[in-house]
Amino acid sequence: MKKFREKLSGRIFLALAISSVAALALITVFILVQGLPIIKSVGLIDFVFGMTWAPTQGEFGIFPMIVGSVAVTLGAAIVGVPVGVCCAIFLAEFAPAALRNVFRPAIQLLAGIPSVVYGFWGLLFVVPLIRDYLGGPGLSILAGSIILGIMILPTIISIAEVSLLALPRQYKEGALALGMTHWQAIKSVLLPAAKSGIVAAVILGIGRAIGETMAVIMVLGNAVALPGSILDPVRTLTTNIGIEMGYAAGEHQQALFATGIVLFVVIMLLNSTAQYITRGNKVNRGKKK
Amino acid sequence: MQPKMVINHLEFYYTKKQALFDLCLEVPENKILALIGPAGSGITTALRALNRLYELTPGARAAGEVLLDGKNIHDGDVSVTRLRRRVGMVFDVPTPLPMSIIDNVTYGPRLQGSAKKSKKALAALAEQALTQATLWDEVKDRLNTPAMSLSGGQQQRLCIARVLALRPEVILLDRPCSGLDPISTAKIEDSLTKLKQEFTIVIAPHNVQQAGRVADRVAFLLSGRLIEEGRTAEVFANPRDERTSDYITGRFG
Repeated sequence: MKKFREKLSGRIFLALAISSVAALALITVFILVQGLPIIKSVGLIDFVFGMTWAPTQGEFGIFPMIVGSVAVTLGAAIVGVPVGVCCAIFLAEFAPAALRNVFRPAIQLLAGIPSVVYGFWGLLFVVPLIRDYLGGPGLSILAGSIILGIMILPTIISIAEVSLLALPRQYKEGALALGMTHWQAIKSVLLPAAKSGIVAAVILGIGRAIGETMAVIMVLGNAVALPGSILDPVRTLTTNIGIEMGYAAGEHQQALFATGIVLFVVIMLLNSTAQYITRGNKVNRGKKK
Repeated sequence: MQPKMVINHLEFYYTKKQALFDLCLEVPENKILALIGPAGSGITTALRALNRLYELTPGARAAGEVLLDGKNIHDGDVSVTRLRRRVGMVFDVPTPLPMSIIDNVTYGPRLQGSAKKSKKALAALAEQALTQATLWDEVKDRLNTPAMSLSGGQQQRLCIARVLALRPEVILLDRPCSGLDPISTAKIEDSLTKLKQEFTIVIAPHNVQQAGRVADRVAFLLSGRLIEEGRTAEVFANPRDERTSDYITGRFG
């Protein structure tokens, strides 16, 4: 009886574990089935590098949106990465316990704000600011970068902080016992040692930025055109799907799924890079070279 | 001869818990002093009080004097980084930094801003330090490989070399041989007895036998109090205190 129970519980956990992987498989298959035919009929090169997106006239070129996604994501990284990494260093190394206990929950809360609220705030606050002081329509790459830069902070901060805190205590003590100042120890020992974790934090943050839809729909302006400056509006891959899915049908709908495939591949690549980097580091620590 | 370091009525607290009680101890120059005692006796605390490394521990504070060449290391005009270069420390776990062997050794001197050293001078310094730590012959052909690739014993000797490269005056060793094999341990003990001609050494050995092998003097601590201090041979042969003899003969600890 006891043996049976052991076996049964094992099976139940297995079934539940499989179901989560199955969801991934189902989604993947569905997107591929829906999106691949259009890529095939338009041609991969024409689809990815095509300049015109006019789904009602049968023109499916998503290059402006790829540029849009890349531009906004890069912008978000430029805004979010320095702030996030410095914040992680501050929390892991400098902050007194009392301050840390305020900062950590606050940053967690930042992750809990719904993305539509970010977008709304961006639209009512960031966009007018840009329009008034920098010119242009306000709805722009810059606005999206600022909003996304803030949104990816929690991801970057928490992962980078954990990778700093996970370092053996002796690294720091060893450096300080050699007569380093605190900052010298951080700069020349702790940061290099935590490098892979910090890089992974940045990549995961970027992955989040690329996949974000709701907030950027509201502040990017969504024009399908190659931007000339960071004050120009753009449309990203995600916003394209979000905006048009409601009324798309037939080939148009397929083209949106195909957009999803491109996005999917990009995010997969980013995530596996992050995993490769973190894992590669663990192997290196144990391995004799 | 004037002692290199003097601990004068040192009381030490971790937040509320007192770890050292009225500790008075002299560290004689160019000798090896071993601090022995069961776990929790305050030995690591005493070592960390000598280079103010305890200041990293939140809530830790010390009252009393610690003199280095007659100067109180807690005085306001003492630079803590300078102090730690004069009083180097080796830990119980080998702590090679995540860089090459040679960079580990030259790390301290390179960051010492005052004297910008040439590559040649650094290489000479590294060779001297590695030789003194009896590691040179084993690594001289692969100085640019990562320090992590060394064995545990080699890593620990590398850490000793790293401290030596700073040309400190006092070296603190906190159970440097715990977790090491007997051959590595013998090599480290061997290098220590040579090093004392040039440096003053305070060691927390990982067992009483090691104190007997390397130390000129031993101090026996129990629950944060100094019980007995004297020449190793005398303390081991005729301990004045019953607790000392109980500990040395292995009745407890």
